[in-house]
Amino acid sequence: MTPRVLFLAVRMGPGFGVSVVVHEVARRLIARGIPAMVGCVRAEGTFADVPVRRVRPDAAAVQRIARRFGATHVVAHTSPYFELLPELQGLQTWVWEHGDPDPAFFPAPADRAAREAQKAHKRSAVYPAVDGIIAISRFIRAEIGRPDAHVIPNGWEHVLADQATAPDAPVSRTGTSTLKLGGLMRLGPGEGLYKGAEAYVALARRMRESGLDAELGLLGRGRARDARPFEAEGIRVIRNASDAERARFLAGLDVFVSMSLWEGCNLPLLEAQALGTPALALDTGAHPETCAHLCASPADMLRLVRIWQRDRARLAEAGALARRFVRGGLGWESTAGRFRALLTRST
Amino acid sequence: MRFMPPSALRQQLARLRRRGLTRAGSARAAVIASGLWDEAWFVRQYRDELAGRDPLDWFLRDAAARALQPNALFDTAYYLHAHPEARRTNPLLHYLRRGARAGYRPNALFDPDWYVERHPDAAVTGRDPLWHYLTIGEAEGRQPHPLFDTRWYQRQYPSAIADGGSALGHYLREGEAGGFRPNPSFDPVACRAGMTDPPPFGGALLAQARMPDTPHADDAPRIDPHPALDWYIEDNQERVRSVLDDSTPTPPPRQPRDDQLAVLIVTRDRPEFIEPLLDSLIRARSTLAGGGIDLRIVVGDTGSSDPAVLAAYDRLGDAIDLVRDLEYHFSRCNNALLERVPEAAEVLFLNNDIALRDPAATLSAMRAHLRAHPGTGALGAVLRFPDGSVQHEGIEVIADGPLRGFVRHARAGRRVGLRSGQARTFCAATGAALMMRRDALDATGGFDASYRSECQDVDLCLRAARAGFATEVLNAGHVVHHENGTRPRGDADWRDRRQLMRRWSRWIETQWL
Repeated sequence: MTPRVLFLAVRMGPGFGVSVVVHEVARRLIARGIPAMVGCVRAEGTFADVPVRRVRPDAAAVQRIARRFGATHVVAHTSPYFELLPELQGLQTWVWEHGDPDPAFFPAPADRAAREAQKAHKRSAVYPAVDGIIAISRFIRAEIGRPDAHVIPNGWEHVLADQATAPDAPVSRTGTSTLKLGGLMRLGPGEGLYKGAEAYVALARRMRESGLDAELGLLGRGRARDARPFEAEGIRVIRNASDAERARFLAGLDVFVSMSLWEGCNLPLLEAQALGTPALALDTGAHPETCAHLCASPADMLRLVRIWQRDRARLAEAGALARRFVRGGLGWESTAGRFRALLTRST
Repeated sequence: MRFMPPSALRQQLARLRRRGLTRAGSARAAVIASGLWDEAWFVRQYRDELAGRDPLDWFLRDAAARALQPNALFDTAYYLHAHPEARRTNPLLHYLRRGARAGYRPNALFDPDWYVERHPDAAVTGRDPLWHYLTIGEAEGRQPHPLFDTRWYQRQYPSAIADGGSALGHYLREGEAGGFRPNPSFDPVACRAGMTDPPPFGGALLAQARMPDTPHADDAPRIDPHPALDWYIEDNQERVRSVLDDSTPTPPPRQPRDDQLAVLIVTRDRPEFIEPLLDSLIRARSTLAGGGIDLRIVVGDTGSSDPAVLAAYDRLGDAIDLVRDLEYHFSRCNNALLERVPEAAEVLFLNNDIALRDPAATLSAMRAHLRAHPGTGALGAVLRFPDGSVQHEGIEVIADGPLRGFVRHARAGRRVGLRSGQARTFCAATGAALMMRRDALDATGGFDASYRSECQDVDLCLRAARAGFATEVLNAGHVVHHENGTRPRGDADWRDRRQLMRRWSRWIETQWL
């Protein structure tokens, strides 16, 4: 029997990593003859080859659309759909877990308590009640406390969607001009702590103080006022860019930098490396799985940047290594293939 | 004397065997003397089957046929599975008379050699290491196996091992089959998923975790770490604190003095090592000066109280630069000493239990090699055990199996492979005798202090490699390393090893594998 998969994610649209994962996996399943559909609360933009429908986050609504679609499997990628899975009848239910940032990164007591409660609820009421759990990294598998979860890593090929701005060939990095560094993060205070906003600003300051001939940029969604703390330290901020601008930004960097303190994967890191941009990230979250040039500290990061600033051949080698690292072992084909194998086994 | 004909002898032996009297006395004595016969446990375990028989007699006669165990940890079923020839006799006697000497394991998880290496005092008793674990080790929470965490198991499952039962015994007999974890990161249930046949004996799943072909079926096909190296069990907040601590100093740019070579030694007591080492280095100074080398000897003392060492410090006076009262931490101490020699063009990190037969020749050769090879940033020396075999001849990456991506000492225990004056590139060299160029040191920032007790030298060499500097090992003369002269043998730090894997496995994999 051919499985039919209903994916559920709260938001489908540009700038959301989960949206990329759902879209890339769903379209590949469809291409392999497995019908798939996406249900979400909010959708923006277009999703080639994949039907995307708005679905109210309640069990009856999900059950209805699943029946109409003839779904055999319902795979939730985010809350509030996770919490509905145990109520669904006659369907294989799966959690595709991208992880939740540690509540400790959210200083407001109410926010922290709500996040802790949500995690606890998933552990006690959702994971034990579903047919299978997928984690996007080993780190997430350990974080959710489910060693039985299947690890299916994310891919990177979506950055090649606009071939004109995201060249597939390795980028030449032999110039001697100012080194261009940059990162991606949502601006604003909400996620600032875990995304390492403060550390990013501190890095800019240290770079300036050390006289390094380098400039630091930042691309992210947010308001003008959210960008000000970064701009005050000389960081060039690009707000609310399109996917094409985003790909161009990544490809134009000499070094991608992430100061994030928690990541289930860090998709931009994979994207940058896939494009041949050396990427630096701290030894936190799932970075050891997704970054070839992992740094023990901001000082470690700066030392490497200084070396690359002086020695562009070394920088080019680092870019080639990063590219090889991502392209050699990861990819949406592999992600979809692994999921398909699980589907086949469970049908 | 009348000789009995062979046929009659065979008949008599057969009669005796039937009556269970062949060497019965000596067998009983041997089993009792071994300390591995736990009659109370045996009676509890087989109460329903004893049927009034003498427990030890029954055990001696039927152990092989009925897989009877003499104690909680001698797993007769496993022993017979691994050594079918033991069926011809009593398996415990086989172990006592032959198996123990041959290094056989009494159960799937207890490796006597590993246990003694890890807990050297177990050898002092003269009894079998299993006896030590049964009577002393387990009560003290010692590990019988690299992946079995006795203390954790005792805390995690107190009711399962109530009344003084054995944690390892419980795991072997029912724990693994019941999904009990031997450590926080190993999940027998996940490990068993997809297996069609039940494991043939207790502990088989954990024992197999050491085998090369047991990847988690659905996991990423990259480095599948050995469970002991599985860094995913580390707390992320702990890692965040570590990366933001950033205590490793960033030295300001400096102009090295071309002639200055600094030797940095961290030490405490052990006059039999440090005195001859310092004397030999000081004697070499004039020879080196003749070759245009200004040798600086910097000693970091971490609390010596031995009068001989204190007297040596007084005697040596200004011949060495002595830094007292350091708190022992390999990375921090060496980094602190490094700050005292900002002008040294080359720096040699040297353990205090190193003996250089001709220090001037060794130091000159290492320095000359570094200067002739600007692409080499770190240079280790071939180190020997006192018997001449290799203690260190480079550190290499393990290319296959569950330890793929981790590192090991090449050629350890074998004859020296490199000819005198010959060098070879490795991924890393031991910090016990490691010379580094100033530019490579600046590119790395010195040792990473987040490593507690090991792997910091490998990490340093890997950071040098990432910055573009190779690591080589040179046979620079006869250099003896009294390994573990200053640190207990087998005192492994798996947290440091996990950190090394976490930080470097992807880079190593992409760069070298």
